[in-house]
Amino acid sequence: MGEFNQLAFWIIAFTVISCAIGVVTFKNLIHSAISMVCCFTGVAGVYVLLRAELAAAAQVLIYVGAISILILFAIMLTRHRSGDLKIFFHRQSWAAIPLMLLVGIVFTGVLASAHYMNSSSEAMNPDTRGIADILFNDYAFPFEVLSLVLLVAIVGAVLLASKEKQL
Amino acid sequence: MQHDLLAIIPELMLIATALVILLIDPLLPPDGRRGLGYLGVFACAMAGLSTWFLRNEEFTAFNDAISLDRYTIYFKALFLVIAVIAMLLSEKHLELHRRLLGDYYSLILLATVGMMVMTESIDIMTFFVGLELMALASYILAGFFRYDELSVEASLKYFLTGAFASTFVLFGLALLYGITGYTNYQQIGETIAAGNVPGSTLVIAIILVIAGFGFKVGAVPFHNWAPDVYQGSPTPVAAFLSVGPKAAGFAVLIKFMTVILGSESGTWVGLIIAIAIVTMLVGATMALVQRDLKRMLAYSSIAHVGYLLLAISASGEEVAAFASASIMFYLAAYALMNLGAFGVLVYLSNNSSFGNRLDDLAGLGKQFPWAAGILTVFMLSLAGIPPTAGFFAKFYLFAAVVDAGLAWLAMVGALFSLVSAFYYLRVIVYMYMRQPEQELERSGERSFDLNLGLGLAAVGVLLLGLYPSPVLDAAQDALLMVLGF
Repeated sequence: MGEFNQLAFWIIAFTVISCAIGVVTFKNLIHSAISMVCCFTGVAGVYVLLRAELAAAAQVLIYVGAISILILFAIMLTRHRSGDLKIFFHRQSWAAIPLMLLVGIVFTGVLASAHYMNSSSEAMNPDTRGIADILFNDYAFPFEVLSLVLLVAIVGAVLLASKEKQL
Repeated sequence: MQHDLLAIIPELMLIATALVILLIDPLLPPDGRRGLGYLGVFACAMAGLSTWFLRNEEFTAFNDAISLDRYTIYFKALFLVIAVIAMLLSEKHLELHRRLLGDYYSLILLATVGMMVMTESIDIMTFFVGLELMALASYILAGFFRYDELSVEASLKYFLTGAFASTFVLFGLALLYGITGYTNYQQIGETIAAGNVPGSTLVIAIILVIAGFGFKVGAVPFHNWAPDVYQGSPTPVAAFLSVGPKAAGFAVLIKFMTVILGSESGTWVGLIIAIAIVTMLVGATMALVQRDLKRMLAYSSIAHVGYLLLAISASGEEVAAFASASIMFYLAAYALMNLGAFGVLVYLSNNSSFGNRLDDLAGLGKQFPWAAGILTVFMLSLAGIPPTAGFFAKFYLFAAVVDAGLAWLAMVGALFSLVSAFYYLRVIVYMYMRQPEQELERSGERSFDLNLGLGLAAVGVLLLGLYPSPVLDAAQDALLMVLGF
């Protein structure tokens, strides 16, 4: 079982990273969006490997299902100025790529070798009941404040997108 | 349960008012919306009153998600003052740009709630949610004039850099959780102090958190968004953004650096000193060459962040209480004078063809004697000249830095503040000693609210300058009670 998990992890990790690179490098927006769907699905796979079934299900339902479809719709509805998009902020890539590689290697080296604590709470038991306990008891306050964050996002979307609201 | 809710009464008042404004806004006739601003101001006043009644309480609530204490109360009061003045500055300006909508006041109130949640949090989850609430509302406010290209650009830039900064903070916090196993500040701090956490991972976490905060408060090299955002966003919003999120950012930074990373000060003091020096350098020199007043004030606010970071580095030394108290006082003074300076720009652009350019200031002393006089007060205060609040703020700040044994650093700071005096005084010279090429056209749109807001800021700046001890004592009391210095 352990070996299978290892193998599955490497396949999923490779898929997720190559899809993530695809999202930012594809010139066609639709290709980018589809690449993103694959990326999200891969992340759901990682959650399954970590035995966080609820997080995996939520990932598939919300990200793969809802958000991706929304993005595809948005692209289709704003197609009137279609055409291949160029990456327009690549002038500094000669400096950014070596720097990114350096930071990436240092971070990976340090973070992979570090020793992580086992959590003191139920966070290591991420099944449905455990998550509900944490969400509605320990972290009830931030959970409630999140509803305000969503409210602000909706107000902002209406404000910035609606045409009629000028006096 | 009752006890828990007691801690967030001011927030509940603001949230309820924000929701009421959102609900009744569509029902009102266009000119009936003027009252909404007063409703917001009233809510802030009530919230202020409730913080006054809560001032002697001290407890944690919601399973150690937040704590109510003097430190929190001090900052809540400061945020309420900022919100009130920002709302008073806004109404006429919004009306003239045909964007007087209730949503504006709701967003200001909710951003204020976000700042309060950030400050009162003693848990990294609560902190991050508060940060996002404040940030999201600020992005939308920056783009509030959405028919103005500059405003939309400001909003987009603010959003992209802000989201980027949030991921830095989040990654750093996730690492802190990973190596300690706690989300509570106190427990993380104790675990780190006990010394059995992997050192290099901790360093990466510290760097990420400092970089994220650097973006949020506008420290060099993470400052590039600030001039564009302040220039592009509506002037009252720029006033709010230049003080509110900064005050909240520093309120949390003090807590982070003392409670969580207090035992690790050897690691971060050098980093903060370096950032502080570069920040003062870039802020002071770039402000010299700006011809646009909003851009100049943006670089000036970057320079002020540099001074504040000096004191943060001092708080890593022995005299943490004095340094932190000086930061708290500085933030109050800075909030009043910066709101006021932007407020005068709002006043001038409401009443004339003023275009926020330095050249437009020529001859203002004759044409708008009151506005010029008040702007002089704010400029003197920003430059740190007595008898204004800016003088005492800088004085305490540099004194704290000297006390921490960093006298050379205080010298560097004083040197940069000398440079900065040039561009503040240049504003005064332009107003009183330059002949205008052509006078500004008056359009005569007076507003009681705006005058009240400006008056409050000016009186505040002078009062803090002449009689600073109550606020300073409040800051010191807060620290004694909370951080146990």
